[in-house]
Amino acid sequence: MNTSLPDTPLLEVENLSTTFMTPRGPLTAVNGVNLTLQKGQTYGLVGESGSGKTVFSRSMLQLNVSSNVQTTGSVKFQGEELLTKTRKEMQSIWGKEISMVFQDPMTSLNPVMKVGTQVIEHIRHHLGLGKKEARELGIELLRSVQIPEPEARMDVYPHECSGGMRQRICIAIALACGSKLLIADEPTTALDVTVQHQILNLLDFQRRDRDMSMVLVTHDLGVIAGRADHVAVMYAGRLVEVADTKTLFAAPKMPYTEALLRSIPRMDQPAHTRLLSISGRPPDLANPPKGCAFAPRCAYAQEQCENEQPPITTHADGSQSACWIPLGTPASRDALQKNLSAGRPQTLAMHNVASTTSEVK
Amino acid sequence: MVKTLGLRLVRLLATVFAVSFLTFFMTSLLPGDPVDTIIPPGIGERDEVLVAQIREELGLNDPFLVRYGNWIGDVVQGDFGKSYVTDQPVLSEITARLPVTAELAIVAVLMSVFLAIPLGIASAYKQGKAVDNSISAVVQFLLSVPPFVVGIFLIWGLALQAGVLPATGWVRLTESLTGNIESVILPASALALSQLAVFTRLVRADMISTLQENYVLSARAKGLTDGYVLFRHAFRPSSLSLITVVGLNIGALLGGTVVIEQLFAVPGLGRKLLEAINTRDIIVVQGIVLFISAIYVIINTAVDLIYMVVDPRIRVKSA
Repeated sequence: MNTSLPDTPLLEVENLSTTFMTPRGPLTAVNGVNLTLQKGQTYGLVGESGSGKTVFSRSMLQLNVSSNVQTTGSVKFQGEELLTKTRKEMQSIWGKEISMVFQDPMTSLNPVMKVGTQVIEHIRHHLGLGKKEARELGIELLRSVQIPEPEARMDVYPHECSGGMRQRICIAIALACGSKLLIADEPTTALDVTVQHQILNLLDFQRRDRDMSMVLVTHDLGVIAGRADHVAVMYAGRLVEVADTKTLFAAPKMPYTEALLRSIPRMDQPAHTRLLSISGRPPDLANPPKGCAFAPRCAYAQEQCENEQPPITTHADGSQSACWIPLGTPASRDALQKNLSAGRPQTLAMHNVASTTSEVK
Repeated sequence: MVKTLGLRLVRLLATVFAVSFLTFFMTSLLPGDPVDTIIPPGIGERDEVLVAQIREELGLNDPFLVRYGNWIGDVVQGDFGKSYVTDQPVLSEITARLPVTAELAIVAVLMSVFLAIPLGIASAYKQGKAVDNSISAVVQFLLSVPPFVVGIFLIWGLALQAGVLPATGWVRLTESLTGNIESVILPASALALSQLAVFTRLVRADMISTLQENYVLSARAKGLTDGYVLFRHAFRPSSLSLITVVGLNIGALLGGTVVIEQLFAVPGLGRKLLEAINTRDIIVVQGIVLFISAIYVIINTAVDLIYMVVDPRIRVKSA
């Protein structure tokens, strides 16, 4: 945990909530999220599909597409409030101070514009460079993201490039104007596994090289390990656990985090081990449960969990979690025993598979 | 690419020939005798020997296929025959009238396209808001009013009430530029307004779906201005159906100006066609229809080529 706080954090999100007005009523996709990112650090944001990660990352920047959306709370970037800025003011921050890399490189480049044009158009717009200088800078950028023959690549169309190549181009675009913060929304989800690794390393290298900070949004905890300083786990629009990466992997406090960690396939398991999955599905956000949103799927859930929303509490090791019965406490062991003997199906699903695995061994 | 173009050319010629045959066939089914035009019956005594002689000279007694063969053989050599009524070569009748109709059609298309693009984009950008609703309401109204009704209203309002533009007639470009512009505005507007409605709808619908695309979001996230994102990023991929329909409509306009030319007393191809039909001047009818359909086919081929310019992905597929 980084204890020294010399100046204002680069990004400070307080109580950020985003609500969509839908025909079925208001749907709160992001609910009271707090997050602090120091300069030069990487923040991992993890959660399964539909947990609100993407909406959160777009809400910070007022980039939500829908018009019937309401964002409340505070997002301070270098001490400046972003949520009260007008669209015009945001346009001088987007791409220049804060850049985004999106999930699907196949669709995030314009199919009818040349790669070169897309790499340099905002350079010219933000930095006021001439056509020739911008082009040279563009070639330099493509070279820095390890695209072979960058001069030739400037004049091709996106469909002539592979997926990995396109994501490199998107990264080059994000790096172009010297942004201080990079928000990468599932940057490798749409790519082949071998390419994923290259892209993540590239992002990490460029971030260090250019002294940027990064919010790395992903559903894959494996992507976070070794790349993020801090991790926030999101479930049903709320942060349920926040910790520095080592602590989170070593001693998760929230049963959801534990379940996510167990769902990562591991090399040291014998072949044909059934991969653990979390039974059930995330709650309907238009009709959220009264208590902890994870309780219906949780192995440890007790009566209190079903009825009361757990507050975020800070633990001795500095990590924070929103759970009535944090893992590693005697209460959690008791709860597990109680649920096992009562034959609670969620609990059996989580813990039987684990025990059969050890028997096979 | 060369192979693609060659193939297109062959297809184009085949289509024109097919059209020429059908035109000839259908006009030959028209009731009435062309000789009646040359020597109107009922005026004094008809010299049946002369009639038979003319019939023989015009080849009207030959079997259908022979007549078609003779006609198309001449057409290929640039000879469209002579009008039965005016005795003028059909080709020169067409070329004298074509610039008028072409100007009318082109001005109408340009007016409608250049108004429809900003209207459609604005409508899509402000989808569901007041701007969109009012544009859509006007478009709906224009769609349901036929062009000649719009024409009558335009004549009444701008020519008869305001008196700023001539109600009917035509001043050639070679005579007076301002006169030409004045005489083209009303008929072209009458043609343009209903087209405008169709084009605006197309642009709006295509833009709305393009604006949902990820690349539009990434363009916005680069901090580009809304106008730049709309016109540079979103419009081009949204313009394919507009190009198709504009292409189809230019062809349709060339033949479809008939009513408007009649209404505004514009001496164009459409009016000539109507005259020729009324006077059973069949060889002129055949000439004009063939001419219009050839232009139609050429424009549609051109549209296909424009696709390749607009969307690089099509270029790859057909290469």
